[in-house]
Parts: sequence; C-alpha cells; structure tokens
Amino acid sequence: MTNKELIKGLQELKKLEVGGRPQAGWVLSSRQILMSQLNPKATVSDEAKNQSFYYWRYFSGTFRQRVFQPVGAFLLIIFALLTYNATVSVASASLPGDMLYPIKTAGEKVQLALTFNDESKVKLQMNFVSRRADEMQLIAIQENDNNRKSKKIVQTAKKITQDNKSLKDSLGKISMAANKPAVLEVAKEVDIKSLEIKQNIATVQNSLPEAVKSEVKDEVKEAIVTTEAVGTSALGVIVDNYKTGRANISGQEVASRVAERIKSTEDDIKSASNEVNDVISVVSGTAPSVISTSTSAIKLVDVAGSSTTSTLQNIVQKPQQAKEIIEEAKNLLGQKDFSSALEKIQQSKDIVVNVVSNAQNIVNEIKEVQSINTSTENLLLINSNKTGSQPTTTSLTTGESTKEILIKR
Amino acid sequence: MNNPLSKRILFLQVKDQDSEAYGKFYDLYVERIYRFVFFKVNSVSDAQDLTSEVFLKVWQYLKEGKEIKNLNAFIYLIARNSVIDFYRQRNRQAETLAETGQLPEVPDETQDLLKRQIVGSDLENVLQGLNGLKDEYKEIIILRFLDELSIAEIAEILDKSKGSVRVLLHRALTALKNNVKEHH
Repeated sequence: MTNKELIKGLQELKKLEVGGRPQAGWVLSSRQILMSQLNPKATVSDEAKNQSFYYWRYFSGTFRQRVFQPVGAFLLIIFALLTYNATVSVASASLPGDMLYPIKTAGEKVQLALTFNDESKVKLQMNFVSRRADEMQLIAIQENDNNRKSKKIVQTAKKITQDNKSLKDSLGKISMAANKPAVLEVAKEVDIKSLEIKQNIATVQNSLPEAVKSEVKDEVKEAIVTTEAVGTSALGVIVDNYKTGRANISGQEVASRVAERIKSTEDDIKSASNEVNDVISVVSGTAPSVISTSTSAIKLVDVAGSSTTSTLQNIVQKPQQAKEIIEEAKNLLGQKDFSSALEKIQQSKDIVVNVVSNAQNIVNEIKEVQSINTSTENLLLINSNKTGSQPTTTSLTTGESTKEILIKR
Repeated sequence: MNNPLSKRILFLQVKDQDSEAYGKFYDLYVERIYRFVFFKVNSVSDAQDLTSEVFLKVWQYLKEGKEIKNLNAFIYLIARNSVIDFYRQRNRQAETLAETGQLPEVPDETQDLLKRQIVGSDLENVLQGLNGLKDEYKEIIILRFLDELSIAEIAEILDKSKGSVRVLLHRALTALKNNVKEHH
C-alpha cells in the first residue's frame, strides 16, 4: 500500500462511524443539551452581536499586531542603530582617558565578535593595533601635563602589547590553513603594517620629553617588541607559503620583504649600540663610591680593571654579535635561503632586546644607588656637624646591599 | 466555515460568550473532537460523553473570563486532559472492582458491531493499523489525515515546532504503513 492509498483509506475511514464519525442523532441531541446548559452573558450588547463590529475588532487587532508592532519594532531598531552609530562615531575620535574611550573599545570588541572570517579578524586586529599607535602619537602631541601623558602612553602601550599577543595567536591559527590565498594576502598586509606601526611608536618615543620617556620606556619597548614579533610571524607565513609553493608569490617579493626586516633590525642594533655607549658614559662619569655599592656596577668597575667576563663587557660586545648575525642573514638572503635568514634575524633581534634591557637595568641601578648615597651623605654631614667628626667613605658600607670594594683606576 | 476569516470572527464572538456563536463553534468542532476522543477511548458511548463534557468545560472556562489565546488549540487541550481524567477514573474503578471481587467491565458492543461493517476490506487493515500505533503517532495521523489540519495548526495544538511535527508525521506514517502491511 502506497502513502497515497493509505491516506485515501484514512479519509474513507473517517466517513464511517468505526472511523470516528459521530452519530447524527447524537450530534443533534448533544447540541440541544449543550445549548440549554449555556447561560449566555447578559451583557453581550446588540452592538457586540453585530458582525461588522467583530470584523472591525479583528482587523484592528490584526493591524495592530501585524503592522503597528513590527513597524514599531523596526523603528526602534533603526533608532537604536542610529544612536549607536552616532555614539560610536563620536567616540572614535576619543583617546585613552577620555569619557567616550570605553565606548570606542567596546565598539571594537563588538566589531571583532561579529567578524566570523578568520582572515578578516586578523586584519581587524591589525587595524586596532595601528589605531592604538595613532592614539599614542596624538597623546604625545596633545597632552601637556607630563604625568597624564606618561599615564596615557603607558596605558596605550600596554593595550598594544596585549592586542599584539592576540593578533599573533590569530595569525598562528590562520597560518595552519595556509592553502588559502587570502592567508598570504593577510600575512603581507600584517608584515607591512607592523613595520609602519613599529616605526610610529619609535618616533613617538623619541619625541617625548626626557621625564616622560623614562617613565614609559619599559611599556613602549614591550609594545615595539611585540609589534616586531607579529611582523616576524607574518613574514614567517609568507616565507612558508613561498617555500611550499602553496601560494603564488615571487622570490623577488619575499626577498624584498626579508631585506626590509633586516634593515629594521639594523636600525635596532644602532639604537642598542647608542644605549650601550650611554651606559658606558654613565659608568665612567659616576663616582667610585656609587659604583662600589651597585651590584651590577661591581662588575662594570672591573671593566676598568682586568676581568673579561664582566656584564658591561658582555653588553659592549652584544651589538657587535647582533651585527655579525645580521650579516649572516644578509648572506643567506643572497642565497635565497629565506627561512634561515629569518631565523638569523630573530636571533639578532633577541640579542638586541636583551642588550637594551640589561643596559637600562644598569643605568637604573646606578641612579638608584646615587640617590641613596646622596641622602646618606647629607645625613652624615648633619651628624658630623653635630659631633665635629669627618664623614668617611667606609661609613657608607653598611647593610647587605652595599659592598666595600677597592676601585682599580 | 472553511473561510479562515469567518473562523476568526466566530472565535471572537465565542470569546465574548455569544451562545449563538458557540452553537456554530460546536457544529464546526464536534466531529473533530469526537473523533479525537473516540480513537483514544475506543468506545462510542465514552466518546460521546467525553465530547459533550469538553464543550461544556470550554464554555465554563470562557464564562470565568479567563483569557484563551488560541481557541483552536485550547479545545484539543481540554479534550486531551478529559481523556486523561477518564482513564484515571477508570483505573480507580477497576481497582475498586478487583478489591470487591466484582466482574470486570463488559466491552463496548457497539464498537464490535461497527467493526463488523468493514470486515475483510482494506479499511479494516487501515483501522487495525491505526489502532496498533502508539498514542503519539495515532494522534498526529488523526489530526493530519482525518481532521485535515495544517502542519501549523497541529504544531499549535501539540505545542511543537513545525519541523518536529513534520518529522513525527513522517515516522507515524511509516509505522502505520508497516502495521497495515503486517495485517494484510
């Protein structure tokens, strides 16, 4: 029996009492009994009994339900969208610390959450990092109060670092599906933009007043390092695509991108060399008593002596090491061994980061000890004036953090 | 009363406790509700009693001024609950009879007489197949193919999505087909 026959059978069945058709006599008698049992509402007016009244009620109800309510809801959505867009567009010009800035970042989060394509997500994240770098630039120009300027720049730099980390993760995720040409396009864009952003942040850093610069140094440095890491990852994706032949990219283009990265690293090495020179000048211009109490400087002092394993000596040698490694990268680039060149670039970058960090630590430590000694000397001077005795250098060597060392000069 | 607009107008009148309109409402639904109940209780007299009870209950509900959003789904809900109450009561009676040692209930003779009318025909197979289905399947087959309700109306009555009604209907029809094949 087919479905059609079965359905036909069912419909035939319903015509029979055995198929659930009620007996006509019962239907009538039951109706009469029911009607006699009903106690109609006394208040049903003639108007209410009028058919046209019910037609009007039905149409007005339907109109309200099917036209008014959807139109109302639609207008409400339009209003919400317009006000949202207006608020977000006003907020887009805001800077960290402004009242509308949280709306701007919330808008970005919504935008990111509504982007489902992984490649578009990476592009968007890159744009947000670029936006933060622009904000940093504006803060540096517009903010007059140094304290507020430092605070806002630190806040922005931290955000850049945080966003860069998520961006790097997203980039790693899409690079797994590297068969898509879109992935290569995104990697190219990230590669170029990261260089621009890094350059912008560095320019902002150099333009800052000395007081602000020292306050924001660590956070800004971290922002630059993470931006570079993103760029290197993107370049890694490009090189990988070239190597495996998964996407259409010429060797010449890869070579020019690797060369750009080498150039950027060379600039970093130059800055690192300058920092090391600054440290040397700070050390050489510092009083022996100060050097003798600084734990890092203890080894620095040895530079003036004979030790070859000192920290400063290491730091002094590092930029040279980085330079040699970058030269190797250049050679590898000449041989079109992009992967190895990229590895060398990364090694060189790591050295530079390490040097800059150590150099800064040494300078900070010397400055700290310098300030402690100045206050202690003042204290001793007050005591000596009271007792009539002369302050001695040995009297500085109290406590565990200070050490009495003979300075060989 | 197949015109949906007239039906909507009638519902509005019924909700206003218009007894004349309720009479028309009875005419419109009595056959469906009777059939719905009949296949559940399998007895003409019980189906008649329960159907009358359903219409009275709906009217009383309206008189209490309680809001009924969907009268079409509501009457089936009352019918279903009345059948449940009926079985509960009958189980209690059976327990009491067993305890007092009285004879069990005599089967409905009218039903047997009616069945004899289609003995040996294809319709007998269909009927047996339908009665052999589980309640859920039987109910949906009746609503769709005997009462000829739309999927949307069934979804309203059973408080299910249109998708799940379609799935249930497909399964019910397959089960019915298998049952009919067995009895053939």
